[in-house]
This record gives sequence, structure tokens and C-alpha cells, in this order.
Amino acid sequence: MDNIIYMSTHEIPLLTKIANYFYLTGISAASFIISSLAYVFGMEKYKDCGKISAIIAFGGICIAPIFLIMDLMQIPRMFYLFFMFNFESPLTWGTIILSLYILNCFLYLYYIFKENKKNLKLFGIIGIMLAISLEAYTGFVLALGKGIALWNTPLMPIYFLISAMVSGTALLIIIVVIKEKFFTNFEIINKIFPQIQNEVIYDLGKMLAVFIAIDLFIAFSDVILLFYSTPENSIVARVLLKGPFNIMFLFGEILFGMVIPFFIFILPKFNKNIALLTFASFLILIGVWFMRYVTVVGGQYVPLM
Amino acid sequence: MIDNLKEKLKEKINRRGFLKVAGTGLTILALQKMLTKLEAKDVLETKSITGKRYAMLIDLRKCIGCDACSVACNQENNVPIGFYRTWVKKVEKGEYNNVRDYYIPTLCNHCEDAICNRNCPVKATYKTSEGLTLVDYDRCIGCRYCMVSCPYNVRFAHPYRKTVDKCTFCVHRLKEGKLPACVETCVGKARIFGDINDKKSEIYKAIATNSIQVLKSEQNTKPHVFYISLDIETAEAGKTDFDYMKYYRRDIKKELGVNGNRIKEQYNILKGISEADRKYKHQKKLNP
Ligand code: SF4
Ligand code: SF4
Repeated sequence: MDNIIYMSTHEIPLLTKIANYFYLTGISAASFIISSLAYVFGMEKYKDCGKISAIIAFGGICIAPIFLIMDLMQIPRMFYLFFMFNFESPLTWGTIILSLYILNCFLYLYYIFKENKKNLKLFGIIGIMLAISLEAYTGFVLALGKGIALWNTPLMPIYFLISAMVSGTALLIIIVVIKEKFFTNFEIINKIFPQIQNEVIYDLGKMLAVFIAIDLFIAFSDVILLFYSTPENSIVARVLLKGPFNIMFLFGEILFGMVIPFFIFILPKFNKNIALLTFASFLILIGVWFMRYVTVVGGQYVPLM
Repeated sequence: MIDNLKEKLKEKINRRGFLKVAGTGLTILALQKMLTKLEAKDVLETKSITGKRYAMLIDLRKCIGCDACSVACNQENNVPIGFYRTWVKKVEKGEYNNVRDYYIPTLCNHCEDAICNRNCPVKATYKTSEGLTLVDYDRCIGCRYCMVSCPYNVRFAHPYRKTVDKCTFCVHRLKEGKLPACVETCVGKARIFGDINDKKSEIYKAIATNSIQVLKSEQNTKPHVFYISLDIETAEAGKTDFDYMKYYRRDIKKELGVNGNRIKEQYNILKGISEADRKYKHQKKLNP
């Protein structure tokens, strides 16, 4: 009935770089938590892959802020973030948490190779808290973006946390498999990273299945709530389910990113097949990236005025 | 001889002590100055504790949708081509014989509880004591978080200044005692601007004696741009239609991609911007 004659053009400020940033911080935080299973909670079984995931955690968090900085319009002014705080803003919380987390990751890695158990435990415990806050803060960044209906939900921090766990575990599985497959003949690598049994991979798979189940549940609650809520929210739900993001959301994130891998990880027929598990982990990695992209860009897709 | 030496030594020590004290004092002073410099915001915030609260009332019964306000604003503030600090949303309702156009002039609401202000990580966006929400262009790092926080979509990324930008209620004109450009130019006198704390002002009387609305009151940002006779359907229009979304989504990079005939245009804009920036800095110098 209404015929729009003129309405403000609508730009999408935050794009792929921000999605990548969220993706990498997620992987890093999750890897840290997995690594702490061995070194803080004393699960000896995960000790060797704990070493690998500590490296992933450090590497991921070194690359992630680059995306964030490249996204600023005034790159030289990035140092303002460290001098002019606004403690009401989640980005300032992020600055503090991220800096502490990078430092902590470095020390943690250092003590792993020094094999200093006491300090390792200390930095592990601090690190778990920082890793959780790191993921939660990225969720809060979106959740406090008040105007955008898809973001403005209390589910966001926990959604980010759990999908981070999913992607972190999946990446670990892939790297462990690659290492066992192609790098067994190198003396140095074998010395630093002892061989990892297949049982560990199966266990990681089981863990992953639990994370995926929680993730699916949260995604489901999110969409259901959006669908039956205020007009803005239901529009967003339609953007996800019918609009331009439906292929990415329904197929990329849900079907190939969660449901199919979930069945691969729980069905006894498949979950001892390393090649299949690696394939499923790949799907998950792509699916979680789609989740980040759909959340960041899809949320801004609906015009506000 | 020895006494003499002692004396000298003492003097030296004293001097050194003095120098030390002075040095520390100076460093502290310098640090303090640096810190205050970081804290110092705009002229308005530090200087005018006048108890004013600026607001705007737009009487949509008088708006004829002529876009004069957008044009005036773009001229006054050197807004780059393709961007608007204020624009008029226009919707046609009804069918033949029963048709009417509805307009909503839209601008920054200078919200009381501005979410953009709360979310800016470096306090580049700030509230003045008169209730204006302003952006310090020398301080903004261009993270664009405020753009996605604002529920009214009034902020834009200034392509040449490389910061965000938005309506300032023409703060430079207010300082000179003039009205904002859009208010002054409005042909139907639909826009009323003034101090709502002043019981004698035109805007106070108009708000007191009319039924007023604000956009998106559910966002709880307490906007200070009020409307008379706001049409909800017009305000909501265009959100549900995916085709519109596609059409109205803009790809800034593609748009500004330097293609032939736009180069000259851009050059002219650039010149204008640097002029505006110079004026802005000059003003800042005059009223530090
Ligand atoms: S309208 Fe948007 S930009 Fe203006 S003060 Fe309110 S939240 Fe901030
Ligand atoms: S873009 Fe500028 S004004 Fe907006 S939140 Fe970032 S630093 Fe603040």
C-alpha cells in the first residue's frame, strides 16, 4: 500500500573484516580453554594437543587485531584506544581484555616450553577467565549495538562463546590430523610434539558434538524469539530465513555447519573414521565463519529509518 | 678552605635537589596538561553552563517535502555528495482519489541518553551541557561502532575526513546566535528550534500545547527531536520489503570508486572539506 518515494540510502558500516576478527578471536579463546584442560585441570590425555592449541591460541590472537585495526578509518589514531578510555563502551573493555589476553597467552606458551608447572597453572587460570571475557565481550559489542535487532539480545555473548568453542575444537582436530598424517617423519617436530593417539581425536569429537548441540539449541532459541517478537525482530528473522542471507544461514551455518557434522560425530558408524571427522571439522570451520558473517552483516542489512 | 668546599657542595646539592624537585614538578605539570588536553572537549562543554537544553520540533502538518532543509544543510556544512545529515523520508499512501504524501524530515535526535555517546571507545562522541551530541573530528578513530549503535541511522562515514559525521544542530551558528540552517530555510516554518528549558520560548509553548511524538521511543534514548502529527506507517515503511533493502543498501566503495567524471567533483568536495576543517580548527583555537 505504501509507496516509498524517498528514503535515506543505507550503508553497512561493519563488513567482512569485523566478521574475521570475531572469528579469529573465537578460535583463539576456545583453543586456550581446550589447552587449559590439560595444564590446569590436569587431564593428562590432552597434554600433547594442549601444546598445539596453545600455539593456535597465540597465533590466532596475534592475527585477529590486525583485521580490527585495518578496519579503522583513522589507523594512526588506534593508539587513542589506550589513552582515552570510556568505561561505558564495550570496545574499551575489549582493548583492555585483548591486551591482557595477548600478554597472558605469550607467558602461558613460554611456560609450556619451560615446563614450569606452577606458573603454567597460574597463567592458565587467569587465561581461562580472560578467554571467556574475550569471547563474551565480542558478544557484548554486538548486543549493545542497540539499534540492530539481530544483535540486541542477551543470547549474543553466550552464542559467541559456544560457537567459538565449536570452531576452536574443530581447528584443533584438523591440525592434529594433518600433523599425524604428514609430519611424522620430521625429527624436530616429533621431539617437541609427541605423537597423538587417535583416541584423543575421538574424544575431541565427542566434546565437539556436545558443543554443537548447545550451539544448535541457542541458534534455535534465537531465531524463535526473533520470529515471535517485535516487528523489527520478525523482519530480521525473515531476512535470515527467507531474505538474502537464507542460503548462508540455513545451509552454510545450520545444515552444513552444524547438523551434518553433528551426525558425523555422534553416529558410531562414522565417528571412528578420521578422514570423515576431518571433513566434518572443515565444514564446521566454514559454518562458524558464516555464523559470524551472517550475524555481523545480516544484522545491519535491515534499514533503520 | 674546607668550609668553603662544604658550602659549595651544599649549594650544589641544594641546587641539584631544587632541580630535582623542579624537574618532577614540571613533569607532573606537563603530564597534567597532557591529561587535561585529552580531557578537554569542545568550547560548548567547558564554557557554557547556561542551563539550556536545545531541541527541535518538526510540525509535519506544515512540511511540504521540498527538501530545502537538506540542501541548506549540505551547503552549510559541506556535506559530501551522496550523504545527508538531514533528509526527508517520503511515502505515498493510498490509491487514486485517496492519495496523500507523507514526509518525515530526519536528523540526529541529540538524544538525552545517547547510545552513540555511551558506546564510543575514545569519547570522541560527547554530550555538551546544552544537550548537543557532537563528534570531535580530531579524536574519532573511525571505528564506526557509533554508526551501528544509533537506532536512527543518522551517522555516516565521511569519505574525505575519514571520521564519522552527523548533524550538529549547526553548533557553529548557535555560537553566533543564529538558528540552524535547516530551521532558517524551512519554507513552511515547520521546524521550530530553541531551548526547552526556557518557559517563554516558542518551542516550549508548542510542545506544551500540542500532542507530540518521537521516533522509536522504545529504544529509550530520549530523543530531543519532536514531531507533531507523525505517521507511524511512514516511519515504519521500507523496512519489510527485501527489494527496497537491496536498492537502498549502498556500496560506498563502488560509489566512490574514481570513475572519470566524478574525479573533478571529488576534487571540489575535497577542497571544500579542507576549508571546513580549517575553519573548525581555527574556531577551536579561538575558544580553547
Ligand atoms: S540520534 Fe543517533 S547519533 Fe544522534 S544522539 Fe541519538 S543515538 Fe546518537
Ligand atoms: S567512529 Fe569515532 S565517534 Fe564513532 S564510536 Fe568510533 S571513535 Fe567514537
